[in-house]
Amino acid sequence: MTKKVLVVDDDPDVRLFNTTVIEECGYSALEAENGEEGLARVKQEHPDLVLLDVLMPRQSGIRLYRELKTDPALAKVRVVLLSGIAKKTFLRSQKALTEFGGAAVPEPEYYLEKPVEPEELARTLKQILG
Amino acid sequence: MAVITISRQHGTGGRALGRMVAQRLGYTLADSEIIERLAKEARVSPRWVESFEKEAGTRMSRFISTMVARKWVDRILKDEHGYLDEQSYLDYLVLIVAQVADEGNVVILGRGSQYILDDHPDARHVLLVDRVDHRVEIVMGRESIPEAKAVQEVAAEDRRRISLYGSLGKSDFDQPLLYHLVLHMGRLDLETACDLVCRLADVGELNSLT
Repeated sequence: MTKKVLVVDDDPDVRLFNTTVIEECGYSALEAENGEEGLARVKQEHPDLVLLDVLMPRQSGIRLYRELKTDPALAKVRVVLLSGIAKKTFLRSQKALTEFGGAAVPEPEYYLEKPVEPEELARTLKQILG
Repeated sequence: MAVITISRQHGTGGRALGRMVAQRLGYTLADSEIIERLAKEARVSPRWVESFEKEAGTRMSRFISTMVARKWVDRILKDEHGYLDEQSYLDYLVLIVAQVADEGNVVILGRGSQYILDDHPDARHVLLVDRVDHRVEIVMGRESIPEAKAVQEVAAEDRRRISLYGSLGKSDFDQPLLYHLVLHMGRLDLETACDLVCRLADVGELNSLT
């Protein structure tokens, strides 16, 4: 069965870029334009991988990542974070959210800083999904 | 590449000091910039963020966050494309403060930045305190308001601060151990306070507690 990759990003150009790379790699691409919609699609479609933007309106990628990682039913969904924000900045923000009473979440397995070259994205997808 | 965070009790001249320090060091003063960035990311108006910050931690904002269905908020705020509640405000805030700090050479006013950047290697945390009666005097002079109104304002802001930090699970925000420098503003003029903070920014690597 074709593996499914969900792209969650508010920027339609980024979604188009990501879905094109995903389909070129032979996977099936799903889309959501914010964290809320992303969470609903994860629950409905059970994707094999989520490509998640960090900063988005209407529930950011930070919130969706934390929701996925703290829900036992969803924690195993693999996530690649994509952001214009440096990884160390993201990790500091996560530490602060935990400090402010949020649940501790694992560091992201994969974190790609934008702009991402198509070859790099394709390599990451293949590394994770085979 | 230092980062100065200034936490303050209301009426201690934090904004004026922040402005002076930023100007003298050639740093950016991150105050309205944080509001603007947050508004942009959340796709709401800067005005919404400002009023949200005024209400942050209060019963009203919790009511909005937990009880008011999103669809009703959407109907009311037709011209906004985003949404902000306590949780999403915090999500954006921590990321933006961390981002602003990583850009360096910046003075950040409040917003829990002393916690968010607690172990940031380049951050120097400053707290401004003063006696209540003196803070009331400052507010009276600054805003040309009668004493009774200034007393009310200072008390309300003190309560808001407790409430805001309380919503983050914090009550130790006036503890000196969180800071590199604590300034009693009733005993210092702004110029001297500015000198001290600028000297702190110039100090090289500091001992880290972590």
